[in-house]
Amino acid sequence: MLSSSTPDALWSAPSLRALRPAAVACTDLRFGRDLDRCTLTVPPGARLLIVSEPDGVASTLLSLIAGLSHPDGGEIRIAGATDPSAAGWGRRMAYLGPLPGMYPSMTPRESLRLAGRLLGLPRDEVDQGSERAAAWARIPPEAHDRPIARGGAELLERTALAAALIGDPEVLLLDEPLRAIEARERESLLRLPGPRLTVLLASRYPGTERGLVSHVAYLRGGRVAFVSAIAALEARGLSLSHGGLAAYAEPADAGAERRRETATE
Amino acid sequence: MSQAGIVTGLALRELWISFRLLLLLAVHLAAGLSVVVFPALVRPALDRFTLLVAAAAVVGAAVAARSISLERSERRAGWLVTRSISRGTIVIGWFVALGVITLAGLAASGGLAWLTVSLADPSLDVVAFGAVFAGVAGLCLVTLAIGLLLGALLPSRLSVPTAAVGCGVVMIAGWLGDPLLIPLAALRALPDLERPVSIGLQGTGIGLAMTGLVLVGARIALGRADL
Repeated sequence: MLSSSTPDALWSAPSLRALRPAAVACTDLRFGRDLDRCTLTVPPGARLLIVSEPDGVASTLLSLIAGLSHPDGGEIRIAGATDPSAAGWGRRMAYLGPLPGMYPSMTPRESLRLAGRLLGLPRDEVDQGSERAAAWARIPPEAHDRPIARGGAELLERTALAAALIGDPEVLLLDEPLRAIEARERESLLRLPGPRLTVLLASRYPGTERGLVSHVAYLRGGRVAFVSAIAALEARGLSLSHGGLAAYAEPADAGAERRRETATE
Repeated sequence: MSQAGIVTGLALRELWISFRLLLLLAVHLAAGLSVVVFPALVRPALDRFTLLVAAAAVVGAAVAARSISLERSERRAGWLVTRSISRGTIVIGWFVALGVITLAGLAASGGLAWLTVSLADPSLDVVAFGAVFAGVAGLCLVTLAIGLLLGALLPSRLSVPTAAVGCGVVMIAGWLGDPLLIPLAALRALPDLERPVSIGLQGTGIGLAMTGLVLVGARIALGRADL
């Protein structure tokens, strides 16, 4: 369902792989007290969980990447582009946050059509994309023409997920998504297909995201303390929890301190 | 349809559903109806009409402030931004929606007032009335833009009273004192139609220019806001 206009074979050609830009690259991002020269590079196709200490910083980082807030300094590139407009990376990225921002008086069908029209998709593509996205988000057929407000938080979140998927984004930013949906179904909804789809998932409950991501980034003190494969974390006997991530970060912090001391000497 | 057209349509829909559209139309129509329903001499009738038009402009500023504040707090502006809609398009879309309703209300209200007073005093000049009324319309557009600016800067609980009190104070000062600002002078000139055409044209032109400047401010304010 999720695809790009660039053929897979072209992306995977060895000669082009070196030129292929990171899906998301944040350089020296600063934002109030939350982020202090935060640098993070995410390759295409990665499924990255972002956990932070304190909790809200991961959400702040995704808001900045989505263009909902402006950084005090630093640079954000999506697929090599810095222009957030529709002509730049605006249509290649989608964001789903804890408050989806849908129009509650609209029906899911109207909302999905609106989402498609805002992206400038042709009418037939909007119709097909709406049906596919609604099917993926498992919006009940009887709810398609009912105002979202009458379907409660669950219908709101399903519609928001479908709206995020309708343009076949290359980068999907998920900030505490679909918390109103039962855990097992939520996991299956967020197991999005597509080898090149890059997913950044900010969560306060890292243990609940275990099956959805392959790597984790831990933010502390406004910076990325480490990025690690989940398997490497677990190989050390640490769990995907705040405690486990903090324990994993300590040797990394010590290493960075040692490197700083060496550089000073 | 362009993105600005889609945002204008969404704004009109939200205004309709939340009864803010009806409120805006009603306050403007009330000004015209006050002349029709309570007939009096021309001058007192136009005095009352002018005061009610000024009050409608203040309500317009408050509605504009609340509208854009709600778009921010309900995260709908954020959702549009993540759908590749620029923040400037959001400001313009809302301004066009509010402006169309306001101008429609003003046109109806002015028409009612003119039909009534011109029957009472056939010597009144329709061109003079139209020119001054166009200046007043320019003033109403400025207040809408000020409302959008405050809504982009402040949360709803602050932006609405600030817009209402701020615009109200300026209107009262313009009414009671010497109206230095030309759009306010148009409002002041409405009851007795003094120097109508020059005041009207200046009021319209300066009102539109001020509206443009304030909208640029609103765009900058929304551009810096966290959505």
